Amino acid sequence: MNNCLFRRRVDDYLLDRMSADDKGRFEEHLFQCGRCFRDVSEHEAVLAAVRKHGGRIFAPDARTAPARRISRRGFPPAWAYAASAAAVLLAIWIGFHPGNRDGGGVPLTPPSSDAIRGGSMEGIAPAGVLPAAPSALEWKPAEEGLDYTVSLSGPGLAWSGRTAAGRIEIPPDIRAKLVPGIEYRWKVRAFAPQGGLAAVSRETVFRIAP
Amino acid sequence: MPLARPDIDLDQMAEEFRPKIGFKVRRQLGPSNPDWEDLVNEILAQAVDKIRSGEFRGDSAVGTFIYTITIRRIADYIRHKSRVLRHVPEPSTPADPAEDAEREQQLLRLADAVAALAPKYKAVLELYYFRELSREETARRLGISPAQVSERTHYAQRLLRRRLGGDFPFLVRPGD
Ligand SMILES: [Zn+2]
Repeated sequence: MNNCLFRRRVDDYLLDRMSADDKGRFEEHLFQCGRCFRDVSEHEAVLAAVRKHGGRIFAPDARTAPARRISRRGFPPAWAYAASAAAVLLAIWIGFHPGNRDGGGVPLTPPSSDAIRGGSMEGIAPAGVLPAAPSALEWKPAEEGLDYTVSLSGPGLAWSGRTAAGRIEIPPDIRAKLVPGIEYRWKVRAFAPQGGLAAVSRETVFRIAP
Repeated sequence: MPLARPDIDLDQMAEEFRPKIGFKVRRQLGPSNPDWEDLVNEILAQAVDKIRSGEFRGDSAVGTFIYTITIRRIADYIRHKSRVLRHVPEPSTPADPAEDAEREQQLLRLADAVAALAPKYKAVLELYYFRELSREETARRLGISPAQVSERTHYAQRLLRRRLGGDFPFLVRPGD
């Protein structure tokens, strides 16, 4: 059991809910405390698995089915994802604002589709090279009443925001951190009012022209 | 000439800090950056040199000393990278497909284990990790206290460790 005081900040650190100063102190502590480092490593792994496969892990049928059965049977084959994607494809396009709508566009697809497997589908979104740091991220809302969580990350940067609109401003302090020539990734997840995941975009990459 | 600290076992130090440096470098540069391993080796080599030459005199903890070297080297890397890209657009190096496939397998195994957790842990992981609700909002929806939200993520972690054994955590072990 880890009784270290920093332990209670593990999730805050991984979910990026810490000030820059606290983050620095926390990371320095990780270099000194083996137990906290182990906790962070393990939580990071769980977070990565949940972010990537959460659509399936938390799907309503997975919730009611006996857990052991899910575990033993493994996951539906790829064709099943593809078939459900084809059946209920939502044509939502995500583009950068301002400009470069073509460069940054990625479709949002329902969570039961292959798109939830995000990172394994490399190279689907065209890499957008932008003339300047974008001031906002924009997409076409799927339907009324959805809630969107947008995450943007890159070297030294991890930001996420929520909105009910089809557009979110990048806060000036985050915008100021975008370095020309470096790749940044962003992604949108849409949630229904009852809390279910309605759609997930593929991850897309942009770079500000040097 | 200052003397090297005789009480520091350099092999042991490398073994302890390699994963920590790897963790920080990967978080900062992104997990698919092909340069991360070289950077980790470089940072370790720098740390060993500084300890051997007596530059590290023990005014701070070894961890703090190595952490400082790590963040400076990462900052240099990012500065240099953006300078290079200013002149020559660099093609992005594809990540190692074998490594990607292995990581994907590990994530799938872990996702399986998460799916098999008891509903009260899964509910916390869904709202707090997947939907990224605040701790307070997660607590409110589940009718528990915010402190219990953290306790449950920690407890889930312990259950998963028990289930997955040596495979966990796997994402942050450089050079495995
Ligand atoms: Zn600690």
